Amino acid sequence: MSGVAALGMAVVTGAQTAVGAAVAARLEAEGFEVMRVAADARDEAAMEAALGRVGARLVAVVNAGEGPVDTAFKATSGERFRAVWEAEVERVVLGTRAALRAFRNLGTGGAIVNLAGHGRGPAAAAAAGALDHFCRIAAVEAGGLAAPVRVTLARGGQGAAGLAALAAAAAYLAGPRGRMVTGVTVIAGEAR
Amino acid sequence: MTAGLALGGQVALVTGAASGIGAATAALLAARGARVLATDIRAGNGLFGHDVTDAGAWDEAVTACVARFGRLDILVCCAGTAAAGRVVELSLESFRAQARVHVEGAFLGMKAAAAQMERQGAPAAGTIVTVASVAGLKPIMQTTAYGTAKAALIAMTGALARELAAAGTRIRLHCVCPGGTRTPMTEALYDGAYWADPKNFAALPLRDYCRPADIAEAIAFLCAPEAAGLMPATLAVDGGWMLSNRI
Repeated sequence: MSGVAALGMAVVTGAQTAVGAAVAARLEAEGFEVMRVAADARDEAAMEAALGRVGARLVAVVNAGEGPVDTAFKATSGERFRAVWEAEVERVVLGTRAALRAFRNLGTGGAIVNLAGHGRGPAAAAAAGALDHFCRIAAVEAGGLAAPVRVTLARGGQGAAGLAALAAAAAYLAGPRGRMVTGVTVIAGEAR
Repeated sequence: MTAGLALGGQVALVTGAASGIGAATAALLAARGARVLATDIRAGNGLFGHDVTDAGAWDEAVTACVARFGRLDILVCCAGTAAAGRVVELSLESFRAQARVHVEGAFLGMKAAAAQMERQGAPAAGTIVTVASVAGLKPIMQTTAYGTAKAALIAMTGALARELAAAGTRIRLHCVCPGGTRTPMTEALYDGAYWADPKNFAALPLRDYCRPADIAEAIAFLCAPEAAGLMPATLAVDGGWMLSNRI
């Protein structure tokens, strides 16, 4: 695309994870300027600092994380369950909250794209279900801001094709092509 | 061309392409580099004449596409017709007309397209996108015929997506569900004053109605090679209409 950063600036949290790195690269290729935040959105200070530096150029916040690993039901301890919940659900809730505060203070519209992983087992399933619905709830609230903000979720992304699809989905949801899409979940993965 | 969105080398057949979402989709896919056979029940103006409820017409359309461009990689089923009315006054003919276009039309199209994709080599590959409606996801007054047909289309698309994946093909299917979109079809139900009044959209999270280009962008995204790793999607493009309790 000709013209650098034609679409404005996207902040990508969890940018050092495989998913975060792939999405950041894809956003750049599509014409976003990207600020990479190495920490995931649970690092509230790092996120706040990044959003403050971007200021009024902000158009999108993409929250990536490590994603849960497969843990079968019998092998899922309470501690393991809580770790997945914090790494997936609390990460996204905190990232959405920080992004919504930034958009509210700017008074500009924009997009929040939350990313979640593809692990199997009860903890990952619980996190995925919670995140699907959290993003719907957040999308309603985000639509109530002075300038509406969109909130979406893209999850899954196993393997090279899955990761590419997840990155393509995130870029579609973050930018003007997806300007009428909010509260949805897009899943990268095999048909089943 | 924006990186990663190109459809160069792909051949698409888009039905209902005379106006509205179909016209926007045919134009956008072509702008992204696809070669497009645009069809409509109204022939002329570069449109291939095509009644989607007629199995023979599907054979002709696919044959024409292959004769012109050599293959078929993408089918987008946009052809549609609207009807509104109370169920107590609904005629069986009207109910059937909705089912014929939206359900049987897409059924015949998916069969014809999948068969052509299988003829092009193993494993068969391609993308089929059907255009349903949020009226098929959530009940709306006076859409007994239209909404029921769209719900059937959503279910059928998802079922065939899994069937073709289980059969080992790489034919991927998605369903896009527009919310309120201003097109010649919907302008026949809601006049210009309706679309011009922001109050009619104030309860939506995004406080606006969709343009045909918004739906076309969703379809183009789902058809892009980079999206090949997506699970079969039922994607609402609706300004948040599905989230609203007040509509």
